[in-house]
Amino acid sequence: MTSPVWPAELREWIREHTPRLLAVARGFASGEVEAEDILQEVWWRAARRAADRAPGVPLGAWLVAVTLNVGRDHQRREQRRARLFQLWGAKSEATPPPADPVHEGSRLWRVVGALPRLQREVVILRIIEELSVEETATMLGRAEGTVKASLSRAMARLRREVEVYEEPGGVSLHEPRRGVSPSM
Amino acid sequence: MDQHHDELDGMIGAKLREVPVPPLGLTARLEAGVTRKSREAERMTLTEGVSVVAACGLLGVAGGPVATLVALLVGVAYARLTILVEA
Repeated sequence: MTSPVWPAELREWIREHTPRLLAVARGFASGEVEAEDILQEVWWRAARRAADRAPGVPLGAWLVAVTLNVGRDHQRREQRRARLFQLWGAKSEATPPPADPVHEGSRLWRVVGALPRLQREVVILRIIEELSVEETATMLGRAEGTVKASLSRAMARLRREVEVYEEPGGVSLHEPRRGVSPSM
Repeated sequence: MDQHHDELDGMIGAKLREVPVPPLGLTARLEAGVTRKSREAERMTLTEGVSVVAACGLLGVAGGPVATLVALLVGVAYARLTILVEA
């Protein structure tokens, strides 16, 4: 049984955390309307499952993890729908996420969503929450070496998904031409 | 190579930490959406609970007064449990 957090606390969460979660949701959506649908589901799940959050886990990290799960579910549904459309010989309405450089971070989130669970959790805690290796290891109940190795593998995967371009003011990240792996 | 990787990792981390400005009214729409879904779920649970109690009552009537009482108690317990779980 979950203890309800609605309404007051959830309102504060929505106001504080929606901007970051929007970046994550966009990685799994083909447009702003879809991203909003994903966020709606995220907050509904968050309201119902707030008690499932393990003690000590930062709220922001938990919400990002929920968003990644909802995003992947959404992506799977869309892929199933696209396959059904193909089977019936109809043209699918599903479109890939827009190739807009503004959303580069969102595309990286899509890659994070495809990582194994431990790597995902380590990326969220180390990169987003900026916890130390020791804090992350304690929170996940893993050895520090495991945390380091997981982050290293996750970053290697993320590096494969981006290309660096020299620019007059320095370097910048751009989406590689081959795009993000469609297998996610 | 390590320095290049470190630099790249830093940029990837910065991209992941980027927080976009949400479209106007998004948070209000999300709040309203959760409220609406919450009320819908509550209504559904109550309807479900009442239906179960009624069905148990009708079944019990066919079996006599003791059966009616037992069926109603089971129905109320089920409805109460459903409401608690859904909450």
